[in-house]
Amino acid sequence: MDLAKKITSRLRRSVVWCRQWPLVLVAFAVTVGLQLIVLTWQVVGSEWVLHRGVTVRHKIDPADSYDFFRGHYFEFIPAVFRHSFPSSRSILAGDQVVVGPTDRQNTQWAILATVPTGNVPYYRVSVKSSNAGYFFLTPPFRRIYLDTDAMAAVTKGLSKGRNGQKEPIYLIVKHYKEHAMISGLQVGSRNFYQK
Amino acid sequence: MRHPRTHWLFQQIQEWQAARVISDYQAEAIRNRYVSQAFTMGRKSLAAIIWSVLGAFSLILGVVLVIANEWPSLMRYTRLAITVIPILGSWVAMAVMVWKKKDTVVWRESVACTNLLAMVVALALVCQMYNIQGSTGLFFVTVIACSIPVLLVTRSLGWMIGTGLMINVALVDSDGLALRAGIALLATGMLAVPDTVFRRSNDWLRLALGWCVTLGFTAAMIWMSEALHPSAFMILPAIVWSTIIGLGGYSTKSWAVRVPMIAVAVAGLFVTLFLGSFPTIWDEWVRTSVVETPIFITILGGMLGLQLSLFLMFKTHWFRWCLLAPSGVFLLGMIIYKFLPIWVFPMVSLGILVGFLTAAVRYGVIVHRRWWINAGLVGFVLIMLAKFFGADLPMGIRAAGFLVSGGVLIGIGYRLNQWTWQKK
Repeated sequence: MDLAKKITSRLRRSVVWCRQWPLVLVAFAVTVGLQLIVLTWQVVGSEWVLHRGVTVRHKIDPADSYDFFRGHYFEFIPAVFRHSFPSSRSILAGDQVVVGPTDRQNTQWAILATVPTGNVPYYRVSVKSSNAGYFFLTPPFRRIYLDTDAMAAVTKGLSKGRNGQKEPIYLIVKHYKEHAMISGLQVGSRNFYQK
Repeated sequence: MRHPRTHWLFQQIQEWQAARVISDYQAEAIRNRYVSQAFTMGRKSLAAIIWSVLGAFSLILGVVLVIANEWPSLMRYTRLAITVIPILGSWVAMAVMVWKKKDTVVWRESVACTNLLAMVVALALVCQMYNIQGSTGLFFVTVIACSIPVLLVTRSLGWMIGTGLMINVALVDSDGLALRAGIALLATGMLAVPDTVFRRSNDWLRLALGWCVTLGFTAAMIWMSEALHPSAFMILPAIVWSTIIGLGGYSTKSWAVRVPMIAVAVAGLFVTLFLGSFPTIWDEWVRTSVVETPIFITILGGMLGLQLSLFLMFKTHWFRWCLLAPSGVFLLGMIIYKFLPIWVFPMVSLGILVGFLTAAVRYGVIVHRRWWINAGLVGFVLIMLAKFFGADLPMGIRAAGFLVSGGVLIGIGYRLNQWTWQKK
């Protein structure tokens, strides 16, 4: 009788273990797996673009900003996305357009009719608003995190340069096809690359 | 657990009883007297634990600030290595919990909350390092989506509250109807699933209350971050402090204590509201030019006078040192302020505030009023958080302050454990 009870008890415990424990183990494995995949994806994707990408400079006009979560940061829109473009075709708000360089040095940017081939940088951006033959684009970049030296240089560049004029500020972006990654900042002749 | 001296006394009582030096009744009476003291020893241990935890918290924040101070000068891969340490630690802790089947509340809650916070920190730092663009809403949704299985492992209430906070922030900050709807669905799931399925409880009231508090806190945070200047975060502890002093003064029976305390509270609230209404004053006027004007010196001098009057009223050394030390530093600062750097002033005002809160906690311990202790500790934690995010002090000085205060707090905890508890 005791033996039967023992066997029943052991079986019951095994059933409970089988029901609960694998679930916990699977949940643990899924947690570690998911978190690892997300973090690795972000890091490897960024490193890939930084190492393989083509360097492009965008002129920017930053505005100083501060908030509780992000601390001190500079919000900006590269000039290429800031201006309105005359629209020769019917483009509505929400549509996607391709913005890319029109020269080999990647200095002149415009709306392209097709996606460029090869290792040519481009942005796939959506149209923010469209009005009276002009439309505005949603910029793919909105902010950059700066260290103290870069922030001091930007602040100085914003007020006045050596000639009493504002120094030009460029955003240095690495492009791998349509993937883009900010890699640094250029204020006047000084470069602030991320180490 | 008995104090060694009580333990010795009980042994002696047993011997006296055996030798018929005292009667059984007397022995029982003496035991009862010291048992009641042993009961209060438990409270003393709790106070020691709280101070020690606060000390450890302060030390950790100090270490974080030291790392943050050196952050820009570190190489990217070093930063990446530092970033993954917390999440690796949380995985190890979770593995230990699963492997050893440690199914206690402490393990479940601490592991779940550590993992959630570690994921937030890791993802935030990776996004900052690589300038990855995206909205706050998407950020929190990613964190929660990666952490949902943690709920299956831990069934943690702290995790639910933490994700509730994130969901609320995500809901307010996100763009687009689809994302908002998705987040709302997630929020409903969070609300419905854990307590009914995993806990099999019907304690909806507690959950709803927690949810409301979280929502209210989030709304207040968002409102403050959008509507007010960041200096409001420094003013918040001052409101808490004024409330503590005012309510404390009102609750006392002596008018000699009540009047100056309420006066301090009103003065504190006035200064707080004045600075809160005109936030730029705090940054540009008070910190730069007003320190040299008679008005500012008069206000602070008045506060100093009230503090000194409180100092004279309290008889214990604790109160005297809590109030005298910052007051003395302040007085010295007033004399030589022209030669001091600007960061000395917020530092000294912080010292005065901490002095008040420490005095409030000590007063609560003496008069056995728990709300004094609780309010003082809450104020203390708020100050710590405000100063952690505050930009009024250089980062190196903030880090040093947190490390020193961590050491002091742990020292207080240790000293509390050593002291003989005052009898009621």
